[in-house]
Amino acid sequence: MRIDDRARRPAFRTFVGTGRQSGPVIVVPMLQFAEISKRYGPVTALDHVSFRVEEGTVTGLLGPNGAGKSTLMRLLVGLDRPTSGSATVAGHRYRDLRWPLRVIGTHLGGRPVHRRRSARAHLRSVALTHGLARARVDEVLELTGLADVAHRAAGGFSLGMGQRLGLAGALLGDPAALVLDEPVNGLDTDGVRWIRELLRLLADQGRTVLISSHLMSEVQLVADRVVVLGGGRLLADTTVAELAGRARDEVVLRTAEHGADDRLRALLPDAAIRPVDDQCDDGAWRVTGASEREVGLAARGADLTVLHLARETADLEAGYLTLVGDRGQQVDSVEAR
Amino acid sequence: MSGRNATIEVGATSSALVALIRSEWGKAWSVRAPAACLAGAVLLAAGTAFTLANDQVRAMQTGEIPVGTLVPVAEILASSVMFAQMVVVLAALQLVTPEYASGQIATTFLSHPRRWVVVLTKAAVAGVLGGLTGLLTGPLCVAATELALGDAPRATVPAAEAAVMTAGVFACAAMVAVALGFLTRSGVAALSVAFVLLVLTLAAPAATGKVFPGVAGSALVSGTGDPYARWAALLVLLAWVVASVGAAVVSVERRDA
Repeated sequence: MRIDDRARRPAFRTFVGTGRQSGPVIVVPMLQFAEISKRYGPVTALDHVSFRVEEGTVTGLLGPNGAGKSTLMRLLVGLDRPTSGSATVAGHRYRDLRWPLRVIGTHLGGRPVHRRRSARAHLRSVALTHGLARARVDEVLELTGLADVAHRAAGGFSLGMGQRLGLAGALLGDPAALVLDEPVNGLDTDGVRWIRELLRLLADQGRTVLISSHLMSEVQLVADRVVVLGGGRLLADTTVAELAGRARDEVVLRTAEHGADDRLRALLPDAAIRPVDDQCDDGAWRVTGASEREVGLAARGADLTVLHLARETADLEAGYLTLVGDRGQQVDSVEAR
Repeated sequence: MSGRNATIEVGATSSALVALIRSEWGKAWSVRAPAACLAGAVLLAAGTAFTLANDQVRAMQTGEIPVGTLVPVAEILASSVMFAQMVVVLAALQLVTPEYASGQIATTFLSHPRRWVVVLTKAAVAGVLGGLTGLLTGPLCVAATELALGDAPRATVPAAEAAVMTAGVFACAAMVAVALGFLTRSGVAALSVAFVLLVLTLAAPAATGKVFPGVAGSALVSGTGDPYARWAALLVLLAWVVASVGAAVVSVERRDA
């Protein structure tokens, strides 16, 4: 697999014409969710969620546990039926795709393999459904680092090996798009680094990736865009940079004196100042809305002994937390798009 | 990368069906349980036939049965086949319920998202496996019976007839088992229901029992005309196959995987 220039690869772009030569041409997004809802009895797992994933982009799907991330992925690939709305892959319902694994590879976590079947036999059985060559099975086994254990029954695999086997299955059809639910779960440090490099490679090849993860730092490293779900609703559909930018940089100031915040506030009227530790006043403060220089000058003006002064850059995690709240469920105050 | 610049193909095609059949056939052989169960069914049936025939010989020696009575080989065959078909059911369930237990069913439906085709394919693969096992089991049971009977007088059954009738019963039992596997999604539950349908109904009052596949299977193999002729028995069995597989298709299409 060679790394290609994304711009030169209009693979799988589907055009829907109006039938007239002069009419407008609509480019169908790779993955599209339109007003999709899913209720399990009284529980609403997803509530009218709409967004699209354009071809060649890597999109991180974020949200607290129970936000509906896995449900959304299952609806996309037709494992669950939506209560209303629709999900399409390149403009088609998944079940209408003739060779679905060549269009979109899916790994929904867990180890969806017969416990007694070897990894190689499992992948061969999947390959047979799409008329894929045996050599392709060996290729993905090699790519996912499972070649040495391919003869072993999948039931004995560790969580990390199970993740690799799931990824191998998703990559088998050399698909244009990938849907991965928590692929980093259970991987050790080497595994996490491996999957980061694999995702970068897949993105560089121009594949469309939708990946859910709890690890913000991983998403920040690989994703172009993020979609945030909370309580079954869409909270944000934006770029990684924009979401990270929603959290403001903070300056952390540690002083030898206690109870100095009133003196600081007097000198920094526009800044928000709160203690690092809400439980006790140990002379350390988090300041937003002022630069390091301004905080430093204010500390000198207030005649404080500065022990530590540093700026903390806002990252995706901070932006995410401003959106879903520290407890993950304070979503009602946030305007859904 | 070759496939990625192609246009997306939509809709069903026979080549996708052939590919699915090859995959499902391969899956049946890539774990040991189905083949082990089928081999077990053959041995169990032959062993049962030998034991039942031996009992007849003993009964004649002790005078329970008048010497010179014709031993009905067809009925010994029917009893043996009815007993062993539960192991065929177990083999057929191996194609379905472990997939639900392990989550493999998601992989199967992702590979071939037209679920009704998956249900029919698994039923067909199980039916063929059951049928082939039956072709072997029937004549082997007759041979075991003949061996045990020695020179006792008997009303024998041609090997070809025993092969075809046993194949029919095993094939139908396997297909009903696949349907029950999809309906219950649990090996234990499916096996319990199959046991009631195929075995317990043999002990039910004749009027009630005859609508069930157990009695129909027995009538098909024995050919005694009790409670109905072979063609009627075959119709009852096929009705059960169609009804159960149909119910499985509706259920699998409707619910979340």
